[in-house]
Amino acid sequence: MDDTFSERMDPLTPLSQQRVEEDRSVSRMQRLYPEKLRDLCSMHLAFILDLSDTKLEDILSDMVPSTQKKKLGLTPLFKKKEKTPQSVFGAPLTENGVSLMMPLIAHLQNPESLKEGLFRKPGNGRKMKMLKEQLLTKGGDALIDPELFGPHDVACVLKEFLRELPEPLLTNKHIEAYRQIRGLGAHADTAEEKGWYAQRKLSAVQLLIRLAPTPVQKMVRYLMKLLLKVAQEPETKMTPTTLGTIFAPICFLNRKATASDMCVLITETEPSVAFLIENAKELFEVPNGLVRDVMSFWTDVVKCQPEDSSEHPKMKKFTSGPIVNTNICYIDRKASQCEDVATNTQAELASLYAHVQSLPDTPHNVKLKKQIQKGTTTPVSSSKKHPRSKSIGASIKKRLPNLGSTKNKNTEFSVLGSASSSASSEDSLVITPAMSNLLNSPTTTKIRGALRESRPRQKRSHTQCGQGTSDCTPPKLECRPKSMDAMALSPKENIPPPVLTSSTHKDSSRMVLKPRASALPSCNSDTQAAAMLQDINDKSAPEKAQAVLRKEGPKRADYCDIHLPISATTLCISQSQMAVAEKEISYLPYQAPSGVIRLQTPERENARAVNDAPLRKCNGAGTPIVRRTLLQLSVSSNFETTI
Amino acid sequence: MGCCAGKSKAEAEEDNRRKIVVVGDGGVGKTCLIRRYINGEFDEFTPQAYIPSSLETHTREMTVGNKKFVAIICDTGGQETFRHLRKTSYPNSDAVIVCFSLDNEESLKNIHNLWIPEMQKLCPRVPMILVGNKLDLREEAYKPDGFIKESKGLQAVKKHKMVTYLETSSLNDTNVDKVFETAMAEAAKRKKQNKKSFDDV
Repeated sequence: MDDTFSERMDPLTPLSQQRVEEDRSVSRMQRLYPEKLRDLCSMHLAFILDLSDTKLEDILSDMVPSTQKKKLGLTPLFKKKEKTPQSVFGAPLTENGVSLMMPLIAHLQNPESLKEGLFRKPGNGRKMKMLKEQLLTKGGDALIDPELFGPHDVACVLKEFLRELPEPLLTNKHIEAYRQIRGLGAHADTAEEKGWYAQRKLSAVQLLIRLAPTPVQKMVRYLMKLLLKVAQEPETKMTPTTLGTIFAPICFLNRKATASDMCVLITETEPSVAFLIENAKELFEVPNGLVRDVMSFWTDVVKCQPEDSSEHPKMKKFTSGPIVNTNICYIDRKASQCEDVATNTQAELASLYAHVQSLPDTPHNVKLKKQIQKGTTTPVSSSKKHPRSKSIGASIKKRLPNLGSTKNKNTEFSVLGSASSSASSEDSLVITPAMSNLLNSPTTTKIRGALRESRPRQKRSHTQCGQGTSDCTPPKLECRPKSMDAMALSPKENIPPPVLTSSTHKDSSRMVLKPRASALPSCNSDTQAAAMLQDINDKSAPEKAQAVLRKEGPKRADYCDIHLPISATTLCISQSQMAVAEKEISYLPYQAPSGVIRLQTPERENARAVNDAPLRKCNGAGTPIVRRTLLQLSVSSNFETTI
Repeated sequence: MGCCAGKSKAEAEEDNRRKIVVVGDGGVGKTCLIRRYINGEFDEFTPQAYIPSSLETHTREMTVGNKKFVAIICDTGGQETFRHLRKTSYPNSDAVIVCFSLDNEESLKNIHNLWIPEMQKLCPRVPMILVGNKLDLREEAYKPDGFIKESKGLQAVKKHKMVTYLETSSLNDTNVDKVFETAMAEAAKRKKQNKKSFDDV
């Protein structure tokens, strides 16, 4: 049957054929592995929005209990309904309720129904009551007599039904996510940027709706299509915005909210509803990234399905485990391309400066602040360039494809470790344990690349760069534990090397770094810190820094997560080197679909300590890491003791 | 001098404030009526005119007799969706303008069934003025069949013991000022009940 279907599709263009194929695989996944698809959705959502673990979990956990509740709640509701038919109004949204509303929606879609002020003008109270009774007695099959009931009556009954739902149509749990979506692209200036953000917004909404309970999905689908129709008909004099004002409380207002909340909410959410209405047709399409992941999911499944045995262990792993794969490479190439590396660095330096300034007044900090102000000490960073440093970018690019491969992890690490103890007075690398903490985040691989380059002699032999491997793994996830290790390198011989502890015995390749801050001789680290900060002082005077922050701050907000660690490191590695490295990394080739990162969805039960490397690995969200790291930095005594 | 006088002046101003609430079904022309009065304009052809309002307040100075008053005019949302919101704007009002549309029978029915009971419950003994909007539509029509006759409005006023009945047209600026002047005259008769009430607005 599938064959005939595809044959029929033949006359279509290859593009639309592909589209059909994609849609089918998504719906197949929805049918067979709904959990899996949900995981994928939430992961993709996390790429777009800045949802911390708990918020994401809220969205996720909302799913499970609510669907269960629905199943449980359906039967008693049905029984109740027979006794007191009123109960559908004011009850939670169920399939039953949606099917009851279908005749109303169908009726309103008639061209004759599209009258002026539809959904705005009030209906006749008596007729509305009659219509409600009719609906409840006849159920979803009720035919609405257009002679008897005007469109306004019908529209008002529909509105009343939606208004009396115990929670907003788009569910309480998702409100925060929608709030963030609204904020996306608020600072976009150019039309191009706006378009990009609009696309992103749309994808986020698509994912979010996919995560909503099924009745809600259905209701939203039909309602928004209807509203679009109403908005497109000039006769009604309604626009997406006016409809947005009316439907904002229905879609978003927490039913317990006070009146003043409501006033604010209407003005805030009205554009969101308008956005939903304008994009009603695309709401249930699948975003591109998700499509790609679903397709590759099926190819994986087919690959490891030798003879139709769904019990095959590998198959099981794919279909039931908590692991989802993604092809998304979330280095923001475009953004980094546009980004002037120097200003980026300045902004980040400024933020570090601001952070130091805002530290509480402990003796250490006071000292530190003084040093920043005076800027008397000399920078450690040497401005001398290694003769071969020109080729850094190129060689990093060459080698990076290999960074992600797990088999080299241990060797790599040990190499770096040994390098750290012996080398480095010639290097400009200064990394304190506190810095390592700060840098303990996705893109720090760059450092490693740069580091490796700057010490060519020591480790070339060990690193076995597989030049042949063509597919490159984005550095973000797999490399992270290693890059942490790289950060741990302490250049001065008299600083004891950081203690490395293996986090899990099973997976010894993942190392957790615990800098032995207390062991650091304070005078030495003081100079280091001073040097670092001297650097800040030179490059960006406070005013300048502030200005940069002001200027660049909002614009960068979306991708500073990615850049922050890098530029923080630039403190230590000579900036020009870093700039080259950064540039190169930003332009990593797009990852081939076969190269796959394993991502685990956040585990709900064990929210682990921030410092835990495995958690970082698990954190599909990616984005929030840095913020948390910074936070951690501000509370950690590490920083203080080190400096 | 400035500071002391200012204080007493502020107090005096407080005494002169009167709150007028405009209620009625969605789309009967409440916002247009207020805009016409406050700004003196009617933007028939701009789509903004059709944006449902949720809650807005306007102020305008008015003179009743020799005394100056500040009218605080509350524009409520006619949508049932805004029911919660609307109710917060009712308390401590000094006059209520109840609107319906002359071309919409439902809106007059809702006056009887919804608005007047609601106002009597939430603002007991407040002077109410019944206003029929969109008079221009009735005047333009050949046969005034589909429209509400003046007698019906007068009936309603009698039935609910309201102050008066006026027919207005925001488009032609007919009777608009008179509506607010009458409302203010009624409001001015009442003494200020609770000064704090305005802080909430």
